[in-house]
This record gives sequence, C-alpha cells and structure tokens, in this order.
Amino acid sequence: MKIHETATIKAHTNKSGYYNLSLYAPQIAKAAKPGQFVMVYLDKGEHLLPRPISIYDIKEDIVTLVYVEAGAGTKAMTKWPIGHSIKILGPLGNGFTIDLLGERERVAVIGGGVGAAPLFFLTEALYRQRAKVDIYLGFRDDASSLVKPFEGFADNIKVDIGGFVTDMLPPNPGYSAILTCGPIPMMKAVADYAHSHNMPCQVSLEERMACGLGACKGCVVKTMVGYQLCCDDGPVWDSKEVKWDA
Amino acid sequence: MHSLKVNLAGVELKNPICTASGTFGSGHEYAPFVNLNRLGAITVKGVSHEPWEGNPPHRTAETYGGMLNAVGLQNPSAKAFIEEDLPFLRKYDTKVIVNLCGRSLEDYIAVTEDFAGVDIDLFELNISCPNVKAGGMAMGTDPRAAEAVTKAVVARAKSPIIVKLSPNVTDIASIAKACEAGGAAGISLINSVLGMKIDIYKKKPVLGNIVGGLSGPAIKPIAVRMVYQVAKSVNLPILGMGGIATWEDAIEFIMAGATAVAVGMANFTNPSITMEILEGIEKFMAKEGITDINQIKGII
Repeated sequence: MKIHETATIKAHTNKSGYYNLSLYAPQIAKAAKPGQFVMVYLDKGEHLLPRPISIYDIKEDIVTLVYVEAGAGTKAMTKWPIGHSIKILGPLGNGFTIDLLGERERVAVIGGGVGAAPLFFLTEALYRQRAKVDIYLGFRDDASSLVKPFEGFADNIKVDIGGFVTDMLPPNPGYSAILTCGPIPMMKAVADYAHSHNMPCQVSLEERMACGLGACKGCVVKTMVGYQLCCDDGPVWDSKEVKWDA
Repeated sequence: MHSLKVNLAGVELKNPICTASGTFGSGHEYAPFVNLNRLGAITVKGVSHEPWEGNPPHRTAETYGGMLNAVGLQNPSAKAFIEEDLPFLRKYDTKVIVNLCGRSLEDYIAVTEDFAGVDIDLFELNISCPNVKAGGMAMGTDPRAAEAVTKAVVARAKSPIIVKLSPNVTDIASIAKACEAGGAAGISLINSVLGMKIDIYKKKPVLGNIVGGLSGPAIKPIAVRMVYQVAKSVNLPILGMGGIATWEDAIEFIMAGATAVAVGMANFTNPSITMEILEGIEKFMAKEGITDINQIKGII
C-alpha cells in the first residue's frame, strides 16, 4: 500500500555531512520494509519534483531517512527545522528479498557512502531473523555516525576509509546472500565477487525519478529484459539481471 | 447548484478535469491517491502498434518551475494496454482517452486499427512528441502532414479524434486548421516545449536523448496563449494543458477557450492534485455565481 502522508520532523541532525531526518509518519512506518524508499516533496518553484530517499530506520511511528547534500534540492532540505511538516509518499519499490535468510544463513551486507543508509534497516531485520551478518562498509571520509548503529546487530563489522570495500572481502566466503547498496562501480565489483564465488547478490540502484509510482517511465535501468523502472521494478535487483555497462 | 459538465468532441465529461498523457500512467498508479470516478477523463500513457523501448537514461531533469523529459514513449504496445490496463480503467465511471503514437503514417494507421472493436471514448492523436526521431513532432509541425495523418486516422477510428499539437511551431493556428480540415473532432494542446540542460561539471547533457520536452508551470503562459490563438481560429473544442498546477490555472485555460483541461507534471508534485483543482473550481464557481462552467469558456 502506497501512502501520501503528512509527516512532522521530530529530529534533524547533521553528522559529518550525513543528515538524519526523523519523521512522525505512522502509516508509512507500519508498511515499510528494508530496501524501500520514500519520495520527499519539496514543492517549491525551483524544486517541483520530489526526492527519492531510502529508509534508514523505523522505530514505532518514526521513519528516519539519511541523506547527503547532493544538489540544490537536498540543500534546501537541510534547512528544515524540527516541527516542520512535509509530505512524503511511500513505502515505494520492492525492497530486499530476505524472507529465507534465517538463523542458519550467513549474509554479507556491503555498503558504500550514503548507500550504507538503507542497509541499517536491512541489518536490523536480518538480526531479528537471526541470520549471521557480516558488514562491510566503505567511505571516502570518516562516517562513524553511520557505522556505530550497526554494532550489536552484526557478527562482524569491517570499515574501509578511502580505499575499496571489496578489498576487505574474504577469499572463501560461503555466504548464502550478498546484499549491497552504494556507488555503481562498487556494486559492480561486489556483483563480480559474488558471481565468481557462485553466491546470489541483490543490488540496490538509483536513478532520477519524477513520480515514484511507475507512471512517468522516467527512472529506467537497463536490464537483461530491457528497460525496467527503478521506482517500481526496483530499486533492488538480482545482480545478474542488471546490465552494468549500459 | 452548479454544472461542471462539458462536451468534448461529442463526449460528455462530468467535469473538465482530465489527466495529461504520460503523467498518469494507465490510471491504476494513481488510484490510491485520486478518486478516479471524479475525473472528467483519464488520458493514458501513449501507445503504439509495436512495443517501444524508449530512450536511454537519464530521462528526466528538474528545471526551474518545471522539468525536462525524454522518455521516448516507452510502452508495451496497444495490444498489451487493451489486455492489461483497459479492464481496470473500465471499472471506473470516467471517460478514457487513448493517446496514439507512431513514427510513420502506417504506424498511426496500425495503432488505430489495433483499437477496432475496443470501447474507447476518445483518441488523442499524438503528432507532437519531441522525443521520437521520426513521426512524432515532425508530423505536428507541418500542416500538410498533420492533415494527412488526421484524415487517415479519422477514417479508421470508431471514436472521435482529438489531435495533440506541438508548441514548437511558428504558427499554431495553421496546424490546428489543417487538423480541422483533416476531420479532427477536437484539438489538444500543448505538448512539451523542446529544451535542454547541461551538467556543467560532467560537461555533458543531462538527458540521455540530449534534448527533451519542458513541462510544468514554466510553460503555462505559452500554453494559455496557444489555446487562445487556436480557440480563435478553429471551430473545434479544445483540451487545454501545459503547466496546470492550481485551480486558478485551470480556470485561465477555460477562459482562454479550452472546453476541458489536463493536468500533467503537477501529478508528480502532488499525486492528489487533480482532486484539489476540482474542488477549487467548484468553490470559485460558487463564489462568482457561475452556474455552468461553460459560461466562462472562451470569454477572453
């Protein structure tokens, strides 16, 4: 169920460039699952289109998003005060498929930059399912505010600053699943790693969106079956379905 | 009591609020946010005889007061639309307008014939898409080609044809007159305005197609002007569109000469916007003592 909800800002902090935006949005909080996103409406003359932002965490009625200042639209968002009401639309997209990842499974969750954000919501869910989770995160600069929350939900956490997250991956992994979100070159390297070890891999992609509802056909991703919509068919795909070089 | 009923090309709409092709999918995408029964008509995403893949990404770019798109009429074909989407739409008490696309005269004829025996209220002949290489806008910018394709489609369609015009012309009235001569039952305008955006850091165009169609509030004054010019030059009903985001915008189009109006990009800014526009018009009529929406049509 997709909901167009008025959300009130309960907390809004900047932690070394990663903005945590906590919203009172009980309907979306109840419906959302890991890997899904919301459209955040700016509704101003210079920013008429909503911004797709992944869900970082849900605690009861509070939906928390993490974003970085990527352009003029997200820059305008950084000014929003606590108590301000905005409109959001969600939960959108398919999310990660994790139903079968139970207590006997070992899972690798691999993130880069702000791509680590949706992986926290994912990791909490995997933890509740008692899967054994290894976390690998890569950042350009210090991002301890994004790393710290993972502690307590994962068996191992490895962090790389300034290098390649894939350099930390073990030579004989034996994971039941690899779940990743981050820059395209990183995810492509993760997908290659997964394939070479014959492990299934889910990748979370992004693309410029207008409606978020599958109506405008704007946010396409090239796949083995042609163009598919990032908002509706994705944002998560089996890595073997994605045509990376398109 | 006030009446919102309008007659668009022989088809009675319960009110003048419609959706613009390409911004409302096939209707079901917006069903959680809009009471589809309260729309005058739904114009669905353009369909062609064969499936079209569309253009490479990026397909959209935000601009001041609007957006560029270069989707390229991606669609799974008329046949797929008829089988998969139309039954859903027919459950609602609203009119269905199907936008027809082609790259050649033969394409337009083929897609029209795909709808033989299919219950559609109105067809919108799309000779104005700026994002397809052949056909599309090329036919909508040449009066003789516009008349020829209109004539060919009108001869084969079981429902009235309204022709969707491009604003990317010097003399919009001459194109409208050509469509009237070809037997069109109405005119819809405007399609998007050809535009371009450059990413100065990547030093590349933002759109995969390089150029795309500008829509949204930024183009509204152009659209109002063209609706006005066409209303003065042909004897056909007009479905007006181009940047309508508020009820005031919709009233402007009607005063300029539009029988009905279509909401496009504003659906992206607020998925329930069509309902808000409808309610705004009702309040305006009550306040101004307008008993029939047709009273203010073309009063300028």
